[in-house]
This record gives sequence, C-alpha cells and structure tokens, in this order.
Amino acid sequence: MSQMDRGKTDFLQDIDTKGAVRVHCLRSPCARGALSSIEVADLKPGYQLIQGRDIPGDTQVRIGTTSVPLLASNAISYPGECVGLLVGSDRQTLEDMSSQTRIVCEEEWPELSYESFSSDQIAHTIYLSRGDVEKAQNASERHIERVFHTGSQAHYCPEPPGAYAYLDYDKLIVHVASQWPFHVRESIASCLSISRDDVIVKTLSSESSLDGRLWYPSIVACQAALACLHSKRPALLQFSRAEDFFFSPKRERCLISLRASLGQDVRVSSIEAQIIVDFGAYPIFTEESLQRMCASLFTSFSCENLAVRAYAIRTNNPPLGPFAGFGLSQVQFASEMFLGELGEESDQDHLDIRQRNINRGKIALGRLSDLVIGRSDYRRKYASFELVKKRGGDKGDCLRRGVGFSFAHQASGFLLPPPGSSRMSVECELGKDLRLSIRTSAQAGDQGTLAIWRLRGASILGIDQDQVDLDTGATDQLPDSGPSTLSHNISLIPELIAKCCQEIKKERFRAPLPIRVRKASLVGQRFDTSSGAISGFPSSALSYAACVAEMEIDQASLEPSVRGIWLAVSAGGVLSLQRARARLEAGIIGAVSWTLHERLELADGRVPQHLYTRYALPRISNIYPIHIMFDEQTSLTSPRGLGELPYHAVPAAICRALYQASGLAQLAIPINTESLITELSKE
Amino acid sequence: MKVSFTLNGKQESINAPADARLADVLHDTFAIHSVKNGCGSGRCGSCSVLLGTRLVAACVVPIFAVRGKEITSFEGFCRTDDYVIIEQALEKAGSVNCGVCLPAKVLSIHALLTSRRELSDDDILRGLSSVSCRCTDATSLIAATHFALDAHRGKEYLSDF
Repeated sequence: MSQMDRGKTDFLQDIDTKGAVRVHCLRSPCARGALSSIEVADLKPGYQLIQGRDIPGDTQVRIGTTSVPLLASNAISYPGECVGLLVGSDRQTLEDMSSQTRIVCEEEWPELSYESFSSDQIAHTIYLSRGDVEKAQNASERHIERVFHTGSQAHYCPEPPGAYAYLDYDKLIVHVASQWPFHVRESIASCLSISRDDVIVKTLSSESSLDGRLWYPSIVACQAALACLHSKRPALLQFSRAEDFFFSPKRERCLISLRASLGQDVRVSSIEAQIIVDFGAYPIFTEESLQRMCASLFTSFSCENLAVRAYAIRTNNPPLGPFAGFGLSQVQFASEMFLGELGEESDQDHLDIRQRNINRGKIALGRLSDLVIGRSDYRRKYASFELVKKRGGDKGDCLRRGVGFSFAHQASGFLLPPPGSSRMSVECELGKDLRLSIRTSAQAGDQGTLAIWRLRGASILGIDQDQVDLDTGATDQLPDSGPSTLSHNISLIPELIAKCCQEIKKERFRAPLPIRVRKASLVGQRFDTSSGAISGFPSSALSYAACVAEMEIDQASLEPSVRGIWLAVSAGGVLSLQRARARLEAGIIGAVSWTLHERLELADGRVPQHLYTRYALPRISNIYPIHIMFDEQTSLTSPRGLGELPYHAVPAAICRALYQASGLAQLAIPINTESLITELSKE
Repeated sequence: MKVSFTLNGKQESINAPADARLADVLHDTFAIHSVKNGCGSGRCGSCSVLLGTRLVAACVVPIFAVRGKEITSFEGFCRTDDYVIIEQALEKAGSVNCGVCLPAKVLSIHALLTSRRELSDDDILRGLSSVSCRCTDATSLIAATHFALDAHRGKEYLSDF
C-alpha cells in the first residue's frame, strides 16, 4: 500500500546526512532594536559563525511586497529572530557554544499591541463600501455593536521546519518541505547570488500543514544553503519541536468590531466594520488576507449600506500570518456570532435572521440547514435546554447544555495573483508503456489528494490508477504550479490534469506516443479596490457549510465539553466521498481544538515557556461524535474546496452553544475556559 | 555502556552513553526511520515502538532500560502477517494518515488487538490516544480497528485447528 511506504524516505530526518555540518540558529534576545555584536566565547576550530554580512546576494527574502531578512543584522523585529548561524559538525557542541554566545543589541521600545496602533505600524489598509452607511445609521433608531477577538494558533506541522543543502557538482540541491518549491528556488538564487538554474529544490512531505509551509521554509532553506556555501559541506538545519513552537510563524490575531443599524423586519440596514489584524514582525500576504476578509463580510451581509476598513498591523511579535483560509475563519466567526446576537436581540429564529440578511448562499443555507437541523434535532434540543434552564432557575444546579448553529462559506483560490506566480502549470505525459506521468510542483499534503489526482487522470484516459505516476519531486523537472494553498489542490490541479488528459485523449490515435501536454491557468483576478467601492461578488467558487454544535458544562468541574458536531457541506462534486469525510472530520477536530484548547497567548512578544507543555493537540480519546453530511443536489457541479469549512463554521456554533449553556456571551476565541469556570462558579 | 537487545528479531549490541534515548539510537544508529523525533517528551507518540508487547514512546525510554528486551519497530512489524491484516483494514476503512503518525498508529492498533479479544469504540479511542497529530480522523481509524479485530479473530480461530 502506498501510504505504508510513507514515513521512510520523504522526511527530513530520514535523509542520510552523515558528514553534513549542523546549523544552529542564534536568536535575538530583544524584541526590537539594532544588533551591535555577536560574541561567541569559544569558537572551536572547524566551526563557523555566519552573520548577515556574510550573505553574498540579497540579504532579504521577498514574499510579495514584504521582505524578510535572512539573518537580522541592522534591525531586529521580534524576540527570537535569527541573527546568525553557528555551523559545525557536532550538534551538542553547537548548542554549548550557543549557550555561551552573547548577542548584544541596542534595544528599542517594542510595539507589541495591535488593538491600539500608531500610523507607523500600518503595513496595509483597505477601505471598501457600498451605499451610504452614515445616512442609514442616522435613519435608524436601533443599533447593535460588538467587538470580537480571535487568538493565535500554532501550525504544529508533523515534522518541524528544516532543510538540507548540498552541492552536487555545479548544482545546489536543497531538500525542504514547502508548499511553494519555486519560491524556495527563487529565494535561494537571489540570496546566494547564483543562477536559479543552479538551484534544485527537492520537496519533502508537507503533510497537513495548514499553510505553515507556505513561505517560512524559503527562509530556512536559504539559511541551510548559506551554511552549505560557507562550509563547503552538506548542511542540515533542523528545528526541534520546541524551537518550532516558540519561533516559527503562527496564526494571525484579529480584532473585529461590527456595528449594525436595524431597519424594518429586523433587516440590517447598515453595517460598519473594522478589522484589525496583527501580522507580527513581517506582514506577509496582507493584501490578499485583508481583501478576503472584507470580501467575506460582503458575502455574509446583504444590506445595501456596508463599509469595512481593514488594517494589517506590524508589531514586534513573531510573524503571524496565513493559516488555513487567510483570515476567513476569524471574520466568519465574528459575522456569525453577530447574526446570532442580532437574532437574540430581535427574538428571531436563527434561520430567519440569516435568510433576511445574508448575501450569498441563501439556497444552500436552506438546504444545509434542513440537513443539519434535522439530523441534530436542533429545534427540540434548543427548546428543551431553554426549558431546563428556566426550571433550574438561579440555582445553577440544573443540567447545563446548549446547542448552537452557524453557517459559513469558503472561497477557494486567490483574489490576487500570488506574488511571483501569475500562472500555474501542470504537465502530463502518456508514455509508450501506456503509463501516465503527472508532473506538478503542487504539494498534495496528504495521500487522499494524490489519489484524487490519479483518479482524475486515469478515468479520462481509461487506464488503471496503478498506471498513473506522480512526479512532485524536484524543481528542475517540474512545471511551476504555484503555491499549494487555498484549495488549489482540489479546485485547480485536478482541473488542469483533466484538461491535459482530455487533450492527450484527443491526440491518442493521431500522434505517436509519448504525448506530452502542459496546461496553465491564470490565477487570481484583479480585485480592484482602489476606488473604495465594491459591486457584485468578489469571491467566486464558494462552498458552504452549516454546523450545529452541542455543548455541555460539567456540573462538578464547570468545564465545557463537546457532545456532538453536525456539519452539512455543499462543495460541488465531491471527488472522493471517503477522503472528503476524513478531511472534514480532521478539520472539525482542529477547529474545536482552536476554539477550546489551543490558547497561545503572547507575552512581551514571546510564546511563554510554560505553554510548551500545556499546549496540546487533541487526542483521539477526547473526540466526540461527529456527523458529516453532503448536499447531494450540487454533486454534479465542479468540485470546490471544502477543507477550510470546519474552521469557518465550527467556532461560532460552539460559542453559540456555550452561550445557551452558560448564559455568558463568548466574544473571543480561543475561549478562556479558566475565566468561564470562574464566572460560572460565582453563581 | 554496552547494551544488548533484540531489534526486529535480530540480536543487536551497541555501545551508547547511559543517558542516550532509545529513539535516537534507533533512528541514528539503526536507521529506523519510522521512529520520528517529535516532541521529545513522550506526548506526540511519533516515536512509538513495541517493547515486548507494550507500546512505548521511544523518546522517553533510556537505552539502558531495554537491556535484554525485544523491540519491534514499524519496519520489523511490516514483515509479519499481523501487519497485512492491519494494512488491509486501513485500506478497507479508507483511513488516510500522515507519514509521521501512521507507523505509530499501526503499532497502536496491533497493541490493542493483542491486548484483548473484545474492543469497544471507547477502548479503541483510548488505545489510539497515545498518538496525537493534526491529520487525525477518528471514524475511519475506529472502523479500521474493528475490521482488523475481526480478521485477527478469524486468524486465531483458524490457527486453533
């Protein structure tokens, strides 16, 4: 079985690195300042210290409009930023030398807050509006305002970041797990000032990385390549799990305030929104993230008057950036909670309030609500939990349970062309032995996606899946398929494979074998926001989900727990029902974990030490009943992404359920269970 | 110190520092690649091996603790008939796991199957909880374990004749 072969050779720690030098990152002790000197007390013979001035080419790695220093030298931007590399043959000796190294900085006052910020901290801002919000607000007598917070989360990839670089004659070979191998190649070529043709990036298994392998591997790979260049020996840079937890990028933090004016029939007449996003020291993909977040609000609310101002804020926290959905989870948590609150205030049924106010997906909402509400017995449970609450009165000794509903959408694909990749290509070749080779630099992330690609090609050409070979290995033999993110692996790559195979099929008996076809797709349509006005729907290829969560608060410990999650999904034709179900289930577990358990608070720009042992991924024994349903009426349409839907839908459903169970509004995730218990124990 | 043990059915003997971790020795000295260096504190389970019939996290087992013991890693287990049962069960249930946690999950299922004849869903969830990973998909793993249990019982039944 192919999956059984995994765990053997396509991970960094499984590469034979005998004879390679080890690379150890020296990290900044301060959050902000200028590096004065690095004083290694006892630099042993054969060991090297590499600093920013030793970089032969560009000292910055460019990711769109943002540049990230390979080794911080003049300016330090966050605590733990890599300022130098210690290179040598023995890992323990490097660690000993590192502990005796003094890094001297001229410290400056760090900017750690993003909620209140100065104009210098704004990395990017956009303003979008339609209608006249001010006029609508003045005309209305009822206004509702809420502020929502969403916290950070660790990517926690199966294998911590790392890279292995070595010279093979005149080529520099770099092994790295990256969602964007061609960006790694460009970055190395630029930093080492060598031709891109002299760099070959061999990709390792990314597994389920939640966009944690999007840009950071380029930095790590450049550092390993730099060490290789200076030591003239193969170089291995491998983070430990702790190093990964404390210093690698995390999910961006958000503060979202929404102010609505209510018109007749409990329709929202206007919404004024402000989104502030903490992108940490290096704001990456800010334009894409902000546009997606704003577009999501325009998709969620149908009111004629809507204005959103979004800010990407630069702070001296570690880099915080894209995490499954590029900010959509945060915005949809806020908008769904807000709709729930509106329904509560106006005594409206959850379905009615959404039908009146959402912009897109009304048909999907109707169908998915029927599915999820019927299966979860939502209405009866809601009524009975309310009744139990009333009977229990103020005693607090009644059974505390609640159910919550939410509706969410996922927008696949980039709104803007990803930096450096305007086209994404896939190449297929039908050989003389009737084997199909699919070549793409896209990283599937899991075996399920690879199986879907195989199936797509095999079904068109009428061959067995075993006759399909996938080549996703090295950049010198592959077409650039762009960054593997935002459901491209499901919505775009299979489509390109299908186009290639259809053309091969046409040529099959006209041209001699082998037949090779390459197809490319333009990515990202310019979403022009320069005028500040928006019309139509910016997001295409939307998929939807409706979710019901049932929560219980333990009577003795007052700890909240999940009793069940029901998720109904409409995502076009599902290529593999089994794989889609597994992916959604894993997503639900991740989303529940983010909402309830994965609290990652930063203190003085650092991840506190004690969190390393407390921060835990969910264990299978803590898993609750999960029910997944698919909307069969859209099964004949083209497939759309669905992997992010749980992250968008589940948090709001959990918080609404907890509100019914506890009577306490949850306006921030991850939920602070300690303060919830404290509040409940006061009763 | 000199330590002798049986690794995947073969007698091995090495000189290692007394505080060396079993995970490092297996991975670095014996090239056992299924043993992944994860959290280093026994929480993630990605370095799981069988010590006798017990599933252990090799990163918290000092090398001196395995003197004279029998260690089975995923590589060794792959050569057994029991592996084929679990492999087919995972395939049948459509369980797709990532390459880091899959070896540990396979060994966990095997440890469960050999521990008792009847398994409830709760037993399975508890038994598999030593491995934590974001790729977790519980439903198919439970189904796979039940399939494997049925096949395992069938094999035992046949061997009685």
